[in-house]
Amino acid sequence: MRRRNMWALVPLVLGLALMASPAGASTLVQKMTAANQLFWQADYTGAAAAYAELETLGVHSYELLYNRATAEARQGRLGVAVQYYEKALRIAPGEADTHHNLQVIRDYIARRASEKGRDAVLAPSVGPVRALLDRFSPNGVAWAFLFFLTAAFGAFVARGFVRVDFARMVLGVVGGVLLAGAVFAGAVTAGKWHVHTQQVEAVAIAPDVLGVHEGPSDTPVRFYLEEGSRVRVLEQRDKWLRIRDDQGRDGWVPRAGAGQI
Amino acid sequence: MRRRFSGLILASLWLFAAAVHAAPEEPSVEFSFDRDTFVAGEPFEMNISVTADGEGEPTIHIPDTRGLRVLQRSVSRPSSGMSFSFSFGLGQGAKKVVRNTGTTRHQLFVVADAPGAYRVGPVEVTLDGHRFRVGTRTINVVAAGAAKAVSPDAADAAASLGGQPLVLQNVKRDPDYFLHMSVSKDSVYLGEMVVLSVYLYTRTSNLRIEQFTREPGTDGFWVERFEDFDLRRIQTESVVVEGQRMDRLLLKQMPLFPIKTGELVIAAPTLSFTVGGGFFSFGRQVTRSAEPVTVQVKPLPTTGQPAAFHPDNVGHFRLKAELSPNPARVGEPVTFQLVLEGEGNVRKAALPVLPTIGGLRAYPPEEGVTVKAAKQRVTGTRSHKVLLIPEAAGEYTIPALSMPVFHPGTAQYQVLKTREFKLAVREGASGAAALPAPPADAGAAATDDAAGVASTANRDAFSRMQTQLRSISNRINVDRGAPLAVTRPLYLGLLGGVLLLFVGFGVGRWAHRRWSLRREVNRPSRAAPEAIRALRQLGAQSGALERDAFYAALHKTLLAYLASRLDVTVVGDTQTELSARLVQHGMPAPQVAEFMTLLESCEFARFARVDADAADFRAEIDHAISLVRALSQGRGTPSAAGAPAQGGGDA
Repeated sequence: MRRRNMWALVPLVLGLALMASPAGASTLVQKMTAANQLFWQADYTGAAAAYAELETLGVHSYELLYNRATAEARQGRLGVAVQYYEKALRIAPGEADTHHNLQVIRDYIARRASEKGRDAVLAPSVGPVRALLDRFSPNGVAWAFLFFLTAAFGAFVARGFVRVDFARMVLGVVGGVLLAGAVFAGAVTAGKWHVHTQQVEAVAIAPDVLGVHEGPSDTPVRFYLEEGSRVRVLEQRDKWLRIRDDQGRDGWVPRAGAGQI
Repeated sequence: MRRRFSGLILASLWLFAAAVHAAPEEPSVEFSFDRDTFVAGEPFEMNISVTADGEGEPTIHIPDTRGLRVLQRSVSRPSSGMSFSFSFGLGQGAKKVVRNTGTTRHQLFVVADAPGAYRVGPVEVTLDGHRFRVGTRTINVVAAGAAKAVSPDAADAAASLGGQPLVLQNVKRDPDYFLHMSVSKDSVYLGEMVVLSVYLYTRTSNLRIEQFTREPGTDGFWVERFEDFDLRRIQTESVVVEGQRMDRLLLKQMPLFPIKTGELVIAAPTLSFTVGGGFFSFGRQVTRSAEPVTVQVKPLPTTGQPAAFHPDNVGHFRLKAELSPNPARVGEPVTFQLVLEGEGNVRKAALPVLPTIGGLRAYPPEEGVTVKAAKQRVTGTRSHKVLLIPEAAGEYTIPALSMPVFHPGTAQYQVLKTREFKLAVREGASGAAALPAPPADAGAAATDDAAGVASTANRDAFSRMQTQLRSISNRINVDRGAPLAVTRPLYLGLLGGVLLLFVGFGVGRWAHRRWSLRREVNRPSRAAPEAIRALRQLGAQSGALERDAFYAALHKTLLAYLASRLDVTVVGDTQTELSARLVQHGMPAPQVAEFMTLLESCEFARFARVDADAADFRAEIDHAISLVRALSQGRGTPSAAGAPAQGGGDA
């Protein structure tokens, strides 16, 4: 009886913990709701600032990044919009709205660049491995890895206790399939982690074009990046980033002119 | 007497069964309608309920009636009918009778194309091999014009709702629910606002709106959104549509601004919703589409069109300008603000550009737009703020700016103007050159808006791009975890836990195997202590045991000792073989012989009627323990030569 009473305390404690923890969350919810309302009132500058504040408060959801990107796009800051759409895609690669808006903006920038007689390669081509990795949500595949691993473990443990040959065979096959799934999901998870932590990328956010300098100072401009161009970051030094574009050209850009993804 | 009574019971059962198994009764048929008066061309609902009682399910056929078209048909099988079974007879001759009683309901939506009398039925019901033709009904259908004269229902309903019955056009009607899309004006000027509304008409109140599976197509329109329109608070009103009282739900309302001329078609939306449903059922999924709507967009009149008119400037606007501070000092930033406000698409309107003024360095303008879309109106303010830095003292003239606009209400052009400003600049003190020089592209930027949109053509392209953008997500997600789940403590904890379990399980299995193996290897050395312990336990229990049971247990314990000591299975071995094995393992032959004798005496005592008491049992136990101890002094390993069997006879 005493033990049952103790178990009854568990939901109570959990409930209290849940009631206590969202105190900050409810404020964040209010802030995000207010930011959305600013957007609906067509105050895109205010909405983008409110989303930025939420980001500084540690919110890192797909919705926040997507909404901020859209608010930035509405006020014409297309480079920043591309940067945040790219960030949103890193969290949720399958979101059709993000792909659509990103394509609309890139088309516009490409057309604008073409009218000014410039070529714009906004999204560098990626290899098959990276293309495969880009199809998966990092968190989705990470949880899938955990699920497959646990399920495979469960199947193998169950197999150890089962004495019927047919059931043992079935559990062995199921465990093998689950383990193969876990290996695949684990490999993709590792790949996503590598991309996130090792392959730093940035987007040119300066209006119109961003000059790429020969060195990390006010040296001559080697070439220009179109607004919204995605590039690899090779090195970071004070207020400068060394970048490489899709054509293999590298150089230095001011940190303020490129937003990291 | 008993046999006679049994015969009576059996006969009664047969009679009862025969009665039950007789030909089924004629089913009953009932007609019901959703109205009393039937109008040609107007669909109505007809319900035909067939109640049948028989062994099997009835087959119901409703013959077609010439002149009546069935639009939709549904059948509900009996759900609350009674069913019972009864068996009589014995063995394989037993007969089972099943009775089913229930009402099958056919629901038909029917329309009569012409007035007249229509006879429905008779309904054909086949039940248990018997065919019945039952139930007829005659319907008198009147012409559409005569309906109001015949039945005041529609007029009464409309009167009670305080309005005329609605006459809907461009609608795909359905008796129960249909979707209707309409626009506030079907002919507008380019850039003039049109309000698009989508309604659901329904006769059922129990429905759940889910989502538009296809939104209205608004190609060719700039789309805004009414802030005060919320789908979660659907406005519902009762209306009369062609004589039927229905609920009208406003599902979507949005302002549209045409951005091209000609016939613009707003593609039909499609809505999915659930009808019925409750705690025990999910309801029925229904999908309805509206008819597309065409809007005629007229070009703006060329007569009286000012030369500098921009086609995006359509609406009822006011224009004003402010300059501050005035006077100012050299190098001190001066703000020139241009504000356009009023009703129309302010977001898209093209503001006049401040020309370059010698001596005033201009920075790229800062745009601000506030749009208020509510109560079927779109109003707003658009500001255009330019920072000017006077480079020298003197008086500068900020010219009056003009902006031609088209007022769709009056169909007239008008020119909005700001006043001219005189900016007095004195020799500056501090603050000069406080701001950095404008960017290299400032010449172009000065004429751009905040988006870097240079020309009118670019502005159009930018506007088009904006209309194509999808809006923000309404989901509120304030997740503050790390972007990668693999770096979150919860995930790492779970992963670590699973891996620990995995490793722990593997280690546990390995340790268990090793322990079992070691136990097997050490089996002979543990044989004597285990046997002595078992013998002592047997001795302690001997007082409560019968003779047979005691000797059987003693025999079993001694054999178990031998099996452990020799690390082989000894069941089935003769005593001669056992002796040979023991000697071969280095046991002293006399003790082996004595042990075999003890085993033999156990066998004998089990099956022979020998008197024995507790003292005898204890003596046997002590003897056995001493023998086990004596045998355990032996080498316990097989001798190389393999000594011959000694002592002991056949078991």
